[in-house]
Amino acid sequence: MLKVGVDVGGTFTDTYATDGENVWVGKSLTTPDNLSEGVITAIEKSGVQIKDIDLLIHGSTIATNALITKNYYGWWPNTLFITSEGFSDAIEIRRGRNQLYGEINMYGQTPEPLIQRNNRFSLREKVDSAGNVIEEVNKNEIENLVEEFKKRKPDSIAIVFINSYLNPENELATKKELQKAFPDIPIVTSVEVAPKFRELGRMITVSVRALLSPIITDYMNKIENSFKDKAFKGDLLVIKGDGGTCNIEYIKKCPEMLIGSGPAAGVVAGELVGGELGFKNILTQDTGGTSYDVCVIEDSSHLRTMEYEVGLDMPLIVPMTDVRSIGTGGGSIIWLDEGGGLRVGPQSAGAKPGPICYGMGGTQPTVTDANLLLGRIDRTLGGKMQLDYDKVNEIFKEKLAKPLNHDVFEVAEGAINIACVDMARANSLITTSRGRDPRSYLPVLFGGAGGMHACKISDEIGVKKALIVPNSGVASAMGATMMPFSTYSEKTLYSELDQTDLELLNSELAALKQQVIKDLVVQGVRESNIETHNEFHMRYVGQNYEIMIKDSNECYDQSELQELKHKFNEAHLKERGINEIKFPVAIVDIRVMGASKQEEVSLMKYPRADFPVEIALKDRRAVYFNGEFIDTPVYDFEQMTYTHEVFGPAIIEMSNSCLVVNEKWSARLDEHKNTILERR
Amino acid sequence: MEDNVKLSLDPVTFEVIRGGFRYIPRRMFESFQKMSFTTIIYEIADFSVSIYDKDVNLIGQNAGCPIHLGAMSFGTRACVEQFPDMEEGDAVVLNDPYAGGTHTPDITVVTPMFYEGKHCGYACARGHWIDVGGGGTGSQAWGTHIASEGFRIFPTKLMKKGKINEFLVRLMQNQVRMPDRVEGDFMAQIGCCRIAEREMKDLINRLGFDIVVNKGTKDIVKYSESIFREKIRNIPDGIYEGVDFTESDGITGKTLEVRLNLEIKGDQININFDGSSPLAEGAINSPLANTHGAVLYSLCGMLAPGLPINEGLYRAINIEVPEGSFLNARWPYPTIGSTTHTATKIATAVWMALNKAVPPEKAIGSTYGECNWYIASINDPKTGAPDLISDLPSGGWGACSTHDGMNACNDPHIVSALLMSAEVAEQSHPVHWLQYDMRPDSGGPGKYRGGVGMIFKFKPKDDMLLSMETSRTKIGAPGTLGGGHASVQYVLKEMPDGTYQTVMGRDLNSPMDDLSGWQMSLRSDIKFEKGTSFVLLTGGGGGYGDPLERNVDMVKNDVKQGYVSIDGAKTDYGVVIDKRSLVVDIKKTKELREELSGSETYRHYLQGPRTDFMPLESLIKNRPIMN
Repeated sequence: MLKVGVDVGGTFTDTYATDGENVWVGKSLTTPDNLSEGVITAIEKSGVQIKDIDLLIHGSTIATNALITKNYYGWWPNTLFITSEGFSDAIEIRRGRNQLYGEINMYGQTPEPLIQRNNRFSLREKVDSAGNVIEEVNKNEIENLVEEFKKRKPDSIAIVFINSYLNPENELATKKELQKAFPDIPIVTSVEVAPKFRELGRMITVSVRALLSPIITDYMNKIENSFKDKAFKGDLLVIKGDGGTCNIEYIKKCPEMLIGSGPAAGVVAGELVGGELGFKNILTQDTGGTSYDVCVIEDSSHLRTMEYEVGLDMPLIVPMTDVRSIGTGGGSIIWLDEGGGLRVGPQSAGAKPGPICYGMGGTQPTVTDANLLLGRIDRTLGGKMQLDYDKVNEIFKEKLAKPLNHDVFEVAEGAINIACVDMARANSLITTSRGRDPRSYLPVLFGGAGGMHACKISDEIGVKKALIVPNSGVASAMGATMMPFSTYSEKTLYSELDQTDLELLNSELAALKQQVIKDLVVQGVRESNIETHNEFHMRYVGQNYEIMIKDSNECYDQSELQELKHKFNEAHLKERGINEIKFPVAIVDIRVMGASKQEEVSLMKYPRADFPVEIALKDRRAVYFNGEFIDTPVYDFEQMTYTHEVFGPAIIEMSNSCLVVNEKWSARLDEHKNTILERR
Repeated sequence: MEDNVKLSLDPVTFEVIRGGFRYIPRRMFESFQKMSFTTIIYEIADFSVSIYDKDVNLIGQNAGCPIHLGAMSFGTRACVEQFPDMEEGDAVVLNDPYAGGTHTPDITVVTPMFYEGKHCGYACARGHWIDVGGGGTGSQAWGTHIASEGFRIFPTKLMKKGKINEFLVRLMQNQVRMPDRVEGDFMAQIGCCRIAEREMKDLINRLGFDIVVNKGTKDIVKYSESIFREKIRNIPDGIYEGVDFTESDGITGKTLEVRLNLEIKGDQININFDGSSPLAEGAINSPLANTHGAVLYSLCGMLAPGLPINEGLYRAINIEVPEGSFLNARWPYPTIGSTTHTATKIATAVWMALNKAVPPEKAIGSTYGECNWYIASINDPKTGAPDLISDLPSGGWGACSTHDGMNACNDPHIVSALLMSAEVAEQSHPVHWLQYDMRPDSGGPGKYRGGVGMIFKFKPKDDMLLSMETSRTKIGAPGTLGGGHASVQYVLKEMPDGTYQTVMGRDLNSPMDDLSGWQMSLRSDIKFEKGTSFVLLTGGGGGYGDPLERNVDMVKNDVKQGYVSIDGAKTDYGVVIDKRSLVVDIKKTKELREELSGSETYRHYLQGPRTDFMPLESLIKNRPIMN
């Protein structure tokens, strides 16, 4: 079976094809105006015929980008929104705040609502907090709405009523009536998306699904057609934001799952590469030009979050890989604030105008420029282009060094250190902040800027070992070919543990599991090949924030409930720093996760070196470390292989990036040509 | 950048510390909220946290309610003065309004932070408890003596070497309406201070004790001070007056004035409150800590948005409040309304004064300048016991020179607090949550429009006693540079037959120049019989600039989106729009705008009380709901 994984990055599209024996790797420029063109070119360039492919798996940033820019090739759907009377503005008011941290800005603004006010409607209906329908939706009112909607020509409709998570009748009745009048457009109810407590999350999520539905359907159709034109006969899968895959029909139904697809591919690649090397606890680090994404892998599976937001207080209540992103990367701008503080980012020079040294009009000092000044980047980029060192030097002097009364190199190294501390702190947010000791994790780094700062970031985190994946784009594409199918089903089922209705709990869990199995079987997964587990969102009675507890029992009786309670108390201590076992505990949401079994991972292997590493030494140059220039060896990664080891200070140059080995660190290549950095 | 700013640390270390002092309070904040057991903390976020150096200088904070910030330093200092030798594992609690507190429900917990046995600073968490006893629901008594507002704790040891003061806990449980929340809320407050200590240790491990505790704390303060002073220096020297008023004191019906002179003198701001009203009989007296807090947040939000708030800012501000003023409360004058009510009036007065000082492009309309804090006790049919619910319905923000004000957004006073979710409200309290809409036409007209307020309504499932502080019922929040006032607020009781009774403020049906039916807008224990609903129409923010200069397309879009009605467009903006086609009549608009621009009546109208153009029936969702 010929499988092809595709990673569509901001600049390059990478492909990885394998038939189990052979591997074909391709790289091509991303074509933003017609993404499938870039994908096809990359695959064909790698020597694979589109018609021979059995399975094609790809990630896509289309959903995230469309939502951020409210634009899909110059178009945006006319989505109408219906909610309970009295709440049509709740999606715009959200939680009534514009600042998270108590910083006041009298000139501030709130995020644009997902759906404009004149596209929002309401119906009289009422379900109470016990799930009783107190007032049914009125057919006449719906008819009036239909008349109005006919004038509006909607592309999709979102329906979300207060308390529908307890009783979906009114939502479903409304949908039924509207679907009669508008049989050809997507009409989405919040209970179909996620029958979960707290209306705002359902309002946002159902709106996102309604908005993305026509967009993703169109996009997927286009992809399918352009592959068909090339006589593609295989199956097409996409990568979801939770790090699993699904088929095209599934994503057309649940397009919100495509959000976060890009970073998820990197996380899963890290999980697979690290796992293959025997590491169960990993911190994946994706360091790009404009952002830095980190994620925790614990016990061989990545953490997920339900707290992703498409804007401030706009929660998307679908499980996603828990990727924390900060705006620090090679393109981050170095600047001085009004108080004379040296700052790095979050503004970025981006791809255009880019860093000063690229000579594309950039005039703001960036982290990449700082690396050039310190000799960490070759002034000719390995002979590919002449970087403008003098201009960088001049601008650093004028904008930073002079006002600070320091020399240029001190400032450049300082700025890099600040960037590294910021990146390390992003790791703290997902480790120490949540009761995890980062020192028991292995950082696995990807992305162009990763190798440049790996040693320093590791020092800041306090770890003594880190792994660099040789070609991150390819690694992500490879990860795509090995991702399992995944899905989930969930609902709010509040019960205090000492009063839990076991029969109800067990039957609900069984129903959720059936749904999960059905969703996977439909996509072609054999039932015997499906693994499921349960997730309970729990809290002390009276609290309002839950902690997720994983568990895999089929059926629950009192002793299993006690075990859950114990697990919860442990987790509360770990995540929140304190617990109290005498307080009663409640389950709020239950969820069943399902996935196809993980396939064997096979990484490319390289022969042991039969020549000394000095053969790969291509140059020596002065590189700045800890306040002085040191004569430093420069190695060619292409010429290095398994068992080669170099000691810092050293530079290893790769085709698109370079690896800086700091003093007191060594770099050793393993049989897959991963670089293992170790502090000595 | 100023040459004379000399930080002792190198720029890199300083930046790491700056980030650290921001990160630590964020961690505290998150953990307090997630551990808490009361909706007013976890759902509303009416709490704040801060960290101090060894000498009790504020070095970092994270506020649900920025008003707490300035005031918390007073509280922490009072605790440290009482217990200068706190040991590891100690915690001190206080709420005394005259000893560093503000109003009694704000409970402050202070713990020392130690690193390997060495003292390195203090952590502080202040949270608004749902009830601390006294004569009214949620301690909102509107009495004339502080004793009516519940227990008052002088700085007292809550925990000694890790052991909780059981006596104190039980004593407090005995005074309050919801005793089962006391232990959990203390756990959350102490727990988050512990997290501060843990994170501080981590920072010290990274950088060293001396660098963090001695040098870093001084540099961060110096840094904020220098930026803030530079901002002040850019404003022309002079004395600028600002005035606002409370509509009553809840007892006498007398209007009380906040009157301040804001002097810019080089890089220093001097504010004196000479001429403000004397101590009030009712509970709107503001303790000094609260008055300082209000000045601090209103200045920062306008002059230095985003600047790390710490001790450095105070150094550039000198505040004088005369003895005997209601802005300098003393025993036994009650203070329950000082925070959400009086402080918002101080803030508006500060903005109005600053508007005269800063260039026009920096001027702003006032926010709705009120927090609409209500607290209600409802007999819970499920348990038979009273249940307390509290919330802070939002209003609009003022417009500025580049854009409209924010719609239905929390006042700066409570900027990171949260509105209650309908489903949480119904799940946790015996209520039907019925409306949460925006209120058209409530934003002050202007070249840029003030944000609109909201229409808020819920129905208790049984008899309810409601205490509430509100204002802006006589006249809405002011605009700037010719921008109009926002709409007035209404507080109503919806009767079972669908009619409305005024419970506070203006009589619903009387014209704007008639205040004869006006009732005091600060009241406790108003009875809502089973079957009635509580309805609140909140005000918007003030407008910026002449409404006749507002772009016609923007007015048209406001009408299309329903932020402004057709009548509002005509009366407030001079824009004539056809009801059915929504087409602007350009000729008539031009004529009307010309006519209005010379009209004294129109200008007078903009600076006076405004109200809704749309009939109440179309605004308030009114339908029978069974209990």
